[in-house]
Amino acid sequence: MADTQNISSEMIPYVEFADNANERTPCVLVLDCSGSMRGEPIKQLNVGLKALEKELKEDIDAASRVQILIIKACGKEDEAVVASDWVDAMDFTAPSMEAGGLTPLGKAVQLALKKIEDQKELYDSCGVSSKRPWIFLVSDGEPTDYGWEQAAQECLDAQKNKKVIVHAIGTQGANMEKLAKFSLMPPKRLVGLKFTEFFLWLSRSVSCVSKAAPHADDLLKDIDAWNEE
Amino acid sequence: MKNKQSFQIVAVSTVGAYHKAKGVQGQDCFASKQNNHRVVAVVSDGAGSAKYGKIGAKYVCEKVCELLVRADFNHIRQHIINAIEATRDELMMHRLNKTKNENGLVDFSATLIGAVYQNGKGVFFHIGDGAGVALLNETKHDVVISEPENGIFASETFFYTMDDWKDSLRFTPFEKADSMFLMTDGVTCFALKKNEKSLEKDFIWPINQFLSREKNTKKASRALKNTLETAQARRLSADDKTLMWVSLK
Repeated sequence: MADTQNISSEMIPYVEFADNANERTPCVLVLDCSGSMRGEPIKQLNVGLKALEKELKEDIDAASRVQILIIKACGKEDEAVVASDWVDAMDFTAPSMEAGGLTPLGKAVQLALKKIEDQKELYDSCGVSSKRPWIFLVSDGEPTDYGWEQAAQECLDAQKNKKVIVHAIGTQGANMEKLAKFSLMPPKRLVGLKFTEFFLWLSRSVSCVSKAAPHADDLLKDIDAWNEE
Repeated sequence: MKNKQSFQIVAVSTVGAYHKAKGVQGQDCFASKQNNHRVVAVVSDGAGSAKYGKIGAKYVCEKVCELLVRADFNHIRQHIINAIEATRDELMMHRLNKTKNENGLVDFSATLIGAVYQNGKGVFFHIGDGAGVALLNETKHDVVISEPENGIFASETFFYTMDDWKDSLRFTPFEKADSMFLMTDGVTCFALKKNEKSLEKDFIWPINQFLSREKNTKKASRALKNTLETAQARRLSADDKTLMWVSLK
């Protein structure tokens, strides 16, 4: 027994492993978890998040290149809270989301922009380069917080200044007109509750972008599995 | 005539978390041969996406070593090309190659990093990612590196099984080295700096120092394997990891 322990603990001394210095692709999910998501919708959202976790971890490159942040918009006080803070995909554990309250999408995207800015500073201080961050705004309704239009404008400004790319996704019942105000691109509509298909597509897309050379063409294609034309 | 030289070699291959999770074997292979004053060492990484990547990796390691150990050193580059061609010919006739021609080689896709060294002169031959490192002077930290080559995407690389493999074949000569390392891409991510042109100072050098002093090859292999299987190494790369060290003194 003692011999086995010695053998398994034999190591080469003074070896140090460099930190993961891969270029990062930050990806923020802003998820509407308001009361209208209760029941099957929130259940399917959680199943989708688990699929995202599995898919990212199984992708050797994405696992160390993609960073995930999840913000949920919900609650009686129009709260936007971090459900899962920045983490490399290899260490990402899908949080279990619960539905309830209103839909403070304005506050949620403002928090997302702030967290992206902070993270960019961290990358710079560590000498880690990064791709342009993505925000996926997913909602089954419309923003209910005061001043959401201002937040939407901040989102558009950040996109125009090439600081971020925002994709708005509406599920059944979503106000697509209002969601459109958050993104320079037209919002997409999720078919039924195909959260899993959406998150699998997201994983593959973000993985593809994370591995692409700088200034590679737009890789967001093949959205047929979840998008309703 | 000079005395016969014996080269000390330590090599290990560990299965990455990705393949462990999927319950499949590692796709990396390595081989070496020595004869009088010459040593030939080869490491190959079978493409995970290829059906028989592991076989492609095994064949090229064994065939290239077998042919180069007795080839004319004055024309070694041509012999390296011939050896790769001979491996491709074998794979064309492999029982698992249904087409029995070049089209079926894609199923055996694998990278290639190897070296031949004799009487103070050596050359790396390289297709795709992975790396070769020759340590020339420990005190001055002089090195020659055969760098990884990737395509447009980080995960995209080149294989000796491709039709245009000769375009991707690179030679890097070196002289009077004390030792050399060959490694697959599961190791380069922490052995090389981010620019992949220089060494992370606290990885290769301590390993070289330890292996140079440890004369018990089994103990040296165990320590190297344990080092490549630390939680930190696994965290930095989920890929298979192969590292071969050859003392050239």
